[in-house]
Amino acid sequence: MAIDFNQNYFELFELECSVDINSEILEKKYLNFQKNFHPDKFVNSSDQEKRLSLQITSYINEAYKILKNDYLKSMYLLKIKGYDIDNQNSTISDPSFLIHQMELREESDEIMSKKNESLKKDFFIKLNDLKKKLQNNFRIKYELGQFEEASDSIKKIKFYMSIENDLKRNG
Amino acid sequence: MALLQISEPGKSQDPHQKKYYVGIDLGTTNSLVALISNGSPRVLQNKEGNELFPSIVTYKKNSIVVGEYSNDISSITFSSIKRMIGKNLKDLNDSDFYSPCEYIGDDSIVKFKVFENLFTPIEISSEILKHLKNITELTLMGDIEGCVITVPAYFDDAQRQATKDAASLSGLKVLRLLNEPTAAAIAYGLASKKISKIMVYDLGGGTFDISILDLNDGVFKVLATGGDSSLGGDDFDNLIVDYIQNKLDIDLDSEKKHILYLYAKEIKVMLSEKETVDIELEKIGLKKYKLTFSRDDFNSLIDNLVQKTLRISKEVLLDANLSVNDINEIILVGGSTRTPFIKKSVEDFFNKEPLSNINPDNVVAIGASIQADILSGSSKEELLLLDVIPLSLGIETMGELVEVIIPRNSTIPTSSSKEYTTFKDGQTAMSIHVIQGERDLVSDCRSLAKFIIKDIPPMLAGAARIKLEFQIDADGILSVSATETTTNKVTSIEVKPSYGIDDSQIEKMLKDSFDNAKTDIESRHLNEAIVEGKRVILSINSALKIDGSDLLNEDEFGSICKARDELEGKLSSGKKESIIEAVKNLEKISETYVSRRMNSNIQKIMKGTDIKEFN
Repeated sequence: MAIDFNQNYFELFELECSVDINSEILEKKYLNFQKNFHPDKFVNSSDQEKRLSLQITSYINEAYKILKNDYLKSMYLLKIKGYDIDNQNSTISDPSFLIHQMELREESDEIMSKKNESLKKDFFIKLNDLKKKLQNNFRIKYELGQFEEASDSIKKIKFYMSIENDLKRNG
Repeated sequence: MALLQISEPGKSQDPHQKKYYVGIDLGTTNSLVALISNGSPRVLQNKEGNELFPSIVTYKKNSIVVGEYSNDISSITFSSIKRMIGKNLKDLNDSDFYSPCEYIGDDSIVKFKVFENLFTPIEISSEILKHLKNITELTLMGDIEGCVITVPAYFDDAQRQATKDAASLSGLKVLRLLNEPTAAAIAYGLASKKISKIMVYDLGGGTFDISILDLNDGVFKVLATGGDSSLGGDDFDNLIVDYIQNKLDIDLDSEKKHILYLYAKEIKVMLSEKETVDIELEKIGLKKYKLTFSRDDFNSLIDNLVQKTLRISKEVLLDANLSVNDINEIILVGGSTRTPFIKKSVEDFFNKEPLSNINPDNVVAIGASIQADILSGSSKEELLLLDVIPLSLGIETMGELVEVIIPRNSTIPTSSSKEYTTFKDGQTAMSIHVIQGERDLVSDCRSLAKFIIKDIPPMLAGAARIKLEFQIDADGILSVSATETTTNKVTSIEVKPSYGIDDSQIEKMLKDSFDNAKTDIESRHLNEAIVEGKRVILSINSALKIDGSDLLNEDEFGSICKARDELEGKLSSGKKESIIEAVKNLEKISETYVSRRMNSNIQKIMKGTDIKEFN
């Protein structure tokens, strides 16, 4: 039982380090990893093996979660390129986006106070469309090697997601 | 021992060495044990042939009895202790749990004053598990090597940890904790389906649980759970009692009421088979009164409660963002789902026939036994269960807010690390509060543990980097470690679980239970003697059947049988010494027989073997 914890998640799954990955390989490899390393396979093994199995499956689960989710995967790709958005101040200097964002906040607050389910649903659809556009933008910029601009798209998605989460949790 | 050699040389298997892997359904009202035997599930029975072991613990002055109601007023009886496992004093005061004695506690745990001792719900639950372990090992004549214990899907980290602690106190090795609804789905073989949404409707004696599972390529996710912890079949019985009492128009004392209550239970069960039942109160020693009670009467009595369960089902569906049509399978669990009216109501509500062909009392234990068998490695079945954590884990940050570290529904095992820094120059300690729940405010979530990280090297404010690593294992149980990354110094963590007990306390309790519970050890020795006795009888019987009449004359045969019968009689004597003595006696009397068998076996083997093989 051995796995190199220093390789990146793409290397772990033997996938090309890119925006589009072969999801079939991802799924297949993931299940294969689980079949070999899941703690259920080591209930009668030594404590050391059990610990190792726990570490490996935690690592695999984390890697899978990130590669399966477009947003998380995008952040991870940028991190590999040296743009760590997660631990960066996510400031966006684009004034029009800031205004747009304030408007969305207001809309969200209003839905929260009205508790109107259908308005809420429409709002979520709207946010989703905005996110999709940005995700697409990210792909283009990333593939062009314009990582600064690509990061900008993801930072914007992050704002939309925080609005979405607040509404989900408190609406 | 001499008799062991009776089996054929080379093929002998000491039955005492047999190791078993079992599934345990540790229920609020009843508990069950099941195992896979010869490829199919088997639910264990007690002496009376019951598969359900009441989850009742009675403390008497000098002994502990499990599974029986006691009329002894001086004793203290706990029922439904599962409701209190992993809970604190506030939980107890807020709940409708009936405590049979005084109790103390704080924000971490409850302790019950039983005579001169203080017992936690963990210790009380461990008595149930100990009892199940004893009965199982007696019945199977072997040891439980490992077990899978089921827990409700909504159990948080504290309740899961407490359940595991109870198991280790009882000497059981837990291979895995398994969610009850997931166990039910496994029992029905649904794990082999690619994609499915499964609703588990579990109506037991005292609790109602509803869960929606999402099965996707071997990954079981609990999408939503709900229920009512004080709604169950017992309420139906009480409704029948009230009905009869109203018809009679008299008040009954508590003893008579209890008799009527038990009768009501019988009536309810009969109505699952028959359309009408004649209630005859004279039969149970009450006044002469006859009344015909029909299934329709019963249905209209319980209709309100049944509608309530469906309302809850609807809420849980909403929680999961699903509609009735999204559900692919419905599974009925719990004895109360035998009631035809409930089956019908569920079917009408979901517009789909629910799965109910496995005994609804046993289905969870059976699922657990299948999982135990797979984990033991003896099953050929390939089933991989990937579970998720039911509630988010986070820590308290400024302003009593929760920062989520591991979000709910993360596939486990999982780990996550976060870096924190010091706030003041020269700061050497840091306090971390771990929270479980989905809400923003700490006070709305459940407090899991408070850690103090000590021995941080003194540095300027903000210079130290404390990396906290949260690890959740396959049972959904959390552990935390901390490192100061600039110096790579592993800082020590002082764990003060907000719930239950820590490892050193468990160790102490284990020690206490060995020191104090002499009766425990004695009963274990007695059990071992009985097991040994049964085993000896079994092997002598099978030997006699094979070649007893060939190798023994009538007198010899007779005296062995006599010694065997004597031992048989001693087994129920409850006296360890006399059983051991009878075993020795039987072994002594059969000594010659044993050696004759050995000889004849060797001859047989030699006859069938080419002489060259001995060169």
